[in-house]
Amino acid sequence: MKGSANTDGETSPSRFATTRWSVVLSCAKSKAANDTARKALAELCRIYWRPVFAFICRRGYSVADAQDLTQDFFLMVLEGNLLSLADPRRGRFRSLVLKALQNFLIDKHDRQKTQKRGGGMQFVSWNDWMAEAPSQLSIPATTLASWPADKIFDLRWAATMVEQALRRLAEECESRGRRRMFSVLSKYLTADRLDVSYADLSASLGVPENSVKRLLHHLRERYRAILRDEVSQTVETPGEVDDEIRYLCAALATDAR
Amino acid sequence: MTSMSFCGLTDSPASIENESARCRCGSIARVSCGLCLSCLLQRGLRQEKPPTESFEAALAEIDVRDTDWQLGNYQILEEIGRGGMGVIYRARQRHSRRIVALKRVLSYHADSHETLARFQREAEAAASLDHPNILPIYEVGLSEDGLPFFSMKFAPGGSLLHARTAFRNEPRKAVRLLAKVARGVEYAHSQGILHRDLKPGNILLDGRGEPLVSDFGLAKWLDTTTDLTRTLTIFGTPGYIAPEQAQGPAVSVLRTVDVYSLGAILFELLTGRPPFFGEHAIAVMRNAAEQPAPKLRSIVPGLDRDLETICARCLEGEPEWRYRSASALAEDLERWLEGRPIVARPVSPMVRC
Repeated sequence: MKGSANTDGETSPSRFATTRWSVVLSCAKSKAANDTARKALAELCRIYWRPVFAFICRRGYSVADAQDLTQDFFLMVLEGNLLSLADPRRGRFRSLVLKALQNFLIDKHDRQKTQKRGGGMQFVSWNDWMAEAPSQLSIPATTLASWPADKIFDLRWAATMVEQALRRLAEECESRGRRRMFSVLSKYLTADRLDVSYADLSASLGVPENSVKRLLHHLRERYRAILRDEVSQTVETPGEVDDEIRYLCAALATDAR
Repeated sequence: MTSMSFCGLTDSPASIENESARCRCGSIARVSCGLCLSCLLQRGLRQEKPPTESFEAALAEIDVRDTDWQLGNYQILEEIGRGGMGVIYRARQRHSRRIVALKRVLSYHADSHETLARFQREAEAAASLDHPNILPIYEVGLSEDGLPFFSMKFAPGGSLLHARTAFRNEPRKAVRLLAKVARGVEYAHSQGILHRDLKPGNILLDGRGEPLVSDFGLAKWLDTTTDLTRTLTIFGTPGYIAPEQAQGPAVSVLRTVDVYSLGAILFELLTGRPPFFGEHAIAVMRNAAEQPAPKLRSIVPGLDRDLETICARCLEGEPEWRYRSASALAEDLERWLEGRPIVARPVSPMVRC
């Protein structure tokens, strides 16, 4: 699932007018029903279903109930109720989804006994998603048990964003016949220079060490561009990309010792 | 239950269980290849110096094309498992774009006709099975280097080996899962195929946590005795194989060997440990052959007495004392789930002697 992104990933005001979240917001403000906005919102929801599901699970629902509630939540969002459930003032997609989700669960709890859930409608196709985009997020069980639902939501949001960027990068490499290169070099996307054995990578890929250095450098740059593009799809203005990344880093770092 | 029970956080339940090493940055969350989530986020922050050369240009100049990264009609995406005989990849079928699991013989086995024949047989046997709790085989093929491979349904929930701890203190979930597995095994038996290596690592989970029995690699046609099966050394995994199977290929095995393995898996799901331990594989098999399996409630006293009886019945050293079929086991498990009396009765120590 690729973003409606430019290729270098850097941002300009004119390009930002077409990011998914800005389209959704501008349409909501003008109260105009717009197919482009609906598609943009659906695309965002398809990417970010995991944080919603993880939040609901963390609130103590069974897996089956959480799956139903996740489907219900997205159907409600796509029917146009996202902004009515959350603070109507502008906000980032992440914070608005969380607020809407909290309100949705309160509302569901109040009506639980009178309303049947599910309705047979499926927005998230669990099997397809997990096959196409499996998540390998790992976190110690003790940490997981001690974190509240909104922190789990942020963690899962950050992981979704990063894994989406990695997936796009892998697909780009694959489309250029470089899947193996991605497989070998992606392990070193965040490694310090001293932790990389260029000689080993050179032997593994069959190219000189200097070429490995160049490839790794470019892979990192391309990853940065794609990640920035992913983040940009969920915020309204260019200045928010770095703020959003810093917010998520801070959310994850709270427990660092 | 599936990975999704881990607070819906990840498809990789094993990693939830283990303490990951803390990154230098202080963060504890990791994604694929053990990469630190926080470091990957930090990498996204704006850099003052924009890149001078495009990614495209660098790729065009440096030739690192995928040569051995394709197999038949499949694009390999990543390695997801490696066993004694083969390697398993997550792969994408070119035209349909369907994600599959792809298994192939390791190249250093290429000179072993026995291995190749066994591999081919595994694929053919497994491909003929059609049951909701058996992992479907899509295609059997030969790669350009003459090595066989086959594509299977990709099970995103991983294997029970990684998810087994999720069943601790959840006996109903464990029994429900085992009943389905037993139904799948019974179906294979009805088609004349034994599994002979049932273990947690061979029970995969789909996205909803439904079990899929995989790897009928050791399956042998019940009604034939081929040279191949006679020449094979001991198959199976210590801790899960029946004592008579551990005696080697000379002993003809019956479908009750799979019943034994199902019991060993249920035992482990309920207690958190397999029925037999040992310092090494031989010791485990010797213990299984010489000692009765421990009683379930001697390990977890709070478990239901009927579950103890069911496990004990599966793990009887003498094949004739076990459930006669996987379906008989499945029926007892289903009776237990429905609150009805089970059929199995404890075998007294006197009788055992």
